Amino acid sequence: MRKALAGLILIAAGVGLGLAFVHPKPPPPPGSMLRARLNADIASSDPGMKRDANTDAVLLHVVEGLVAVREDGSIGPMLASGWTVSPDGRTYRFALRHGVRFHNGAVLTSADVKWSLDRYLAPGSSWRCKPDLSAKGIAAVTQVRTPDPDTVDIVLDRSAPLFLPTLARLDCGSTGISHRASVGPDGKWRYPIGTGPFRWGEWRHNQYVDLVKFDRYQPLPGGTDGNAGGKHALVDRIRFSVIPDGSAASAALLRGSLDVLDALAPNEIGNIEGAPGIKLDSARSSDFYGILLQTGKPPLDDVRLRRALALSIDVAALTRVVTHGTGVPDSSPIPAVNAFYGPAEQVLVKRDLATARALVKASGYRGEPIQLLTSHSPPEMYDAAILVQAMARDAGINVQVVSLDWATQLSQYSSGDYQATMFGFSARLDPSLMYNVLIGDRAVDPRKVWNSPEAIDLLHQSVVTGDRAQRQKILDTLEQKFRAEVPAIILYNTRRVTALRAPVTGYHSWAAQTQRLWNVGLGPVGSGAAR
Amino acid sequence: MIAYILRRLLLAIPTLFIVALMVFFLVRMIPGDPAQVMLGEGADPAAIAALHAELGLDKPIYVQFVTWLGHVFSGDLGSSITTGEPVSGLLITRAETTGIVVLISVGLATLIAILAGTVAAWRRGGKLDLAVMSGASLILAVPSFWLGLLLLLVFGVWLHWLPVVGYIPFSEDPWRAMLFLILPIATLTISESGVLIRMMRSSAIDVLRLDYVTHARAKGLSERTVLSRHVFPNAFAPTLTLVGLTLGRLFGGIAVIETVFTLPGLGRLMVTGVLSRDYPVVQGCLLFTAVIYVVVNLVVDLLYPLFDPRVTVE
Repeated sequence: MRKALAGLILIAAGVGLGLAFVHPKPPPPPGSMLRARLNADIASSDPGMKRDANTDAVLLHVVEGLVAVREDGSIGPMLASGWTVSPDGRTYRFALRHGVRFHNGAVLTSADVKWSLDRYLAPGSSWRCKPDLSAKGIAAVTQVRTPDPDTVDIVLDRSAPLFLPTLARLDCGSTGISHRASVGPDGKWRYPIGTGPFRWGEWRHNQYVDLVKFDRYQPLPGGTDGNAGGKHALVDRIRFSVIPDGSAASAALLRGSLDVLDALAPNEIGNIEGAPGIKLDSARSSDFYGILLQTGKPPLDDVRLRRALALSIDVAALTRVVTHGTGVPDSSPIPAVNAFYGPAEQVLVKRDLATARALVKASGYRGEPIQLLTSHSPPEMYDAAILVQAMARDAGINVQVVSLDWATQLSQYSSGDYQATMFGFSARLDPSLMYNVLIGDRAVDPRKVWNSPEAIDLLHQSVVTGDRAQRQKILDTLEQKFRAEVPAIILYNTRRVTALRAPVTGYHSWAAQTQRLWNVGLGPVGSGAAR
Repeated sequence: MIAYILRRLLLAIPTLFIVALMVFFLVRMIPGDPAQVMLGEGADPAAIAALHAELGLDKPIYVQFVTWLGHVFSGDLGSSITTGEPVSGLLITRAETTGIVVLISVGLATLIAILAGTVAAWRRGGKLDLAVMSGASLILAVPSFWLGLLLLLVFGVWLHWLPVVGYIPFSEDPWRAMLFLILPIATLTISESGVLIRMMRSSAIDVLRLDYVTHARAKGLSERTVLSRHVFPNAFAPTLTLVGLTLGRLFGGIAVIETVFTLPGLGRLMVTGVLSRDYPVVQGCLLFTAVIYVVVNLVVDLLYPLFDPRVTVE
């Protein structure tokens, strides 16, 4: 027995010693590779087509559009050095920047811009912004002209002040301009050949995406400014590793196998905060989480019951618990970080159980169960649903939580086949785009929960009005109507927290929730403090 | 022997057909739409409809089934809806990772179970038995993901002995690949050894009670000879059955281990496939798992006579 024990100890010591010698190859030298995390694989390499937030974040390092959104939500130049708008507001003339090259060495011309736009707007295309740039959207693109190699004209069927913000939308891949060699001779997408500071490297499905520094990149002057501004590749390579498990990702960061851990889950922050060699960076997100209500079906067709439900919820307490103190309580579809978040939007709906109970009684509600769909994507949505259930019970409302997987919840949401559902909408920098996820004709699009003709008209006005003060007035009116009709209950905006290893410099979180790794470098340990 | 193997393989065909049928229709009964998941929450209904047509999801379900089955018979499991990669290629690549982890883990767990279970049975009621049984019970009570995270923390984060994330294919660099696989293998070995130890101990106790063991001892054989020549072969057969079932189960289902250690294996492929409603991938994974079950069970049945002389292939 003793022999066996001694043997085991010897074997263990041998294995330990062996591992110490054959330690996996050290990470590449500092400055050569920046390692970031994705919580799921990207959906495709085709900008704005098959996409999700991870896909947008990765591809925006590779492709660029004519214009881009700035940190403050305004629109700045990117591949276009400037633009003019015709007096009738229908024709946009873009002057292309000189010296811009694609990753294959080809010089950017107006023909490339036309090729990309034609591809986005082609009949079979699934480009995210195609419906917005159609007759049913903000304006239809009727023509793309190329008067010379450095000029592009885009002609619309009507004036559309939101045209440039739409082109710059991150979920539309920033209307990234790709070289035609991105598509193979068979017409199928190969990989993006763009003009960004990093070129496409290698994509190993469900493992990692590698981007490589583009040496011939022509940066704009200035520093990081939203998705616009000066972009510099400060590392030779970026590796986005797919690490689905949050705890494993935290361990990887602590171990030094990751440099940037974006979208840290609220319940993971405690494990990371204060760890030696780790710093946190964060920004309020331009998103919202809330409860969508089907106002066409009883018992929620009674506005008094919907108001009662809203008044039963302690939004501030719920936000504090669910987001571990990182979120911002919000009762408006316009996120708190938005420039249009004015006095009308800032009023938080306070919990008022007496009024809630009175409204429940007046509505004639007799405790029929109201199903509230939720999922664990993200886990905070499930926690929020449980709290809503408990708070609503105090007002005499019988909420039953139904937990689904994300695909099922998305399907129910899309068909409108639910009574109430917890739902989150990712960052949209324009306030009209936030309202747009709620307002619309339900007969045409069952996803819309607010189909009052007045709301539809106000949304339209907010889209076609260029004057800022006038827009604020329209949005304030919309806000008042939203609170009166309660087609949804807004709960909170999240805060995007990113954990960084100490040598990482230049990283800034922002409201659009994407990780931007241009202008981010790897300095010596102890240098560079995150903002 | 060959006739027996052929008969078993022929019997597997209807089994696999029923599996294919059930898998195809059950997967489609889950609510959720792959096109919707791919295009995201604000996708245009027209774009979703166009993607349905592109993926062939707009055709009647029986047409989809017949088309898929026809392709399966010609060795084509289709392409992933999400990535466009051929499913058969994905399965082969992912099976390499899962196969290495599962085979080594189950092999090690079996060795541990044979030694610990036999010794515990031999010293039944003693301190050694108590220690082995307590250890096995503890292992059974500990979830594999928690154990994995614990090992990750100790050997990856604290001691810096082993990498915590990443993977290198075995074909690229076997030695470095093994470094990435040590922790998943250790986790799975420990997790699976608990039940195998209990089974081996229980079988060995039954055998130790039999007359021929008493007879062997009466003949003056050493305890080592009694245990290795007389107890082990007869006690191992039930454990072997369990090993077979474990292998079949693990080939299709170490998703948790693969997620914790970011291994691109079959389990993670299937989970990702289910979450994104990637029908061809889910169908391919489940069919592959069914084939593995059939093959492993056949191999186990063929191995029985080696351990238990009372069993013959006839």
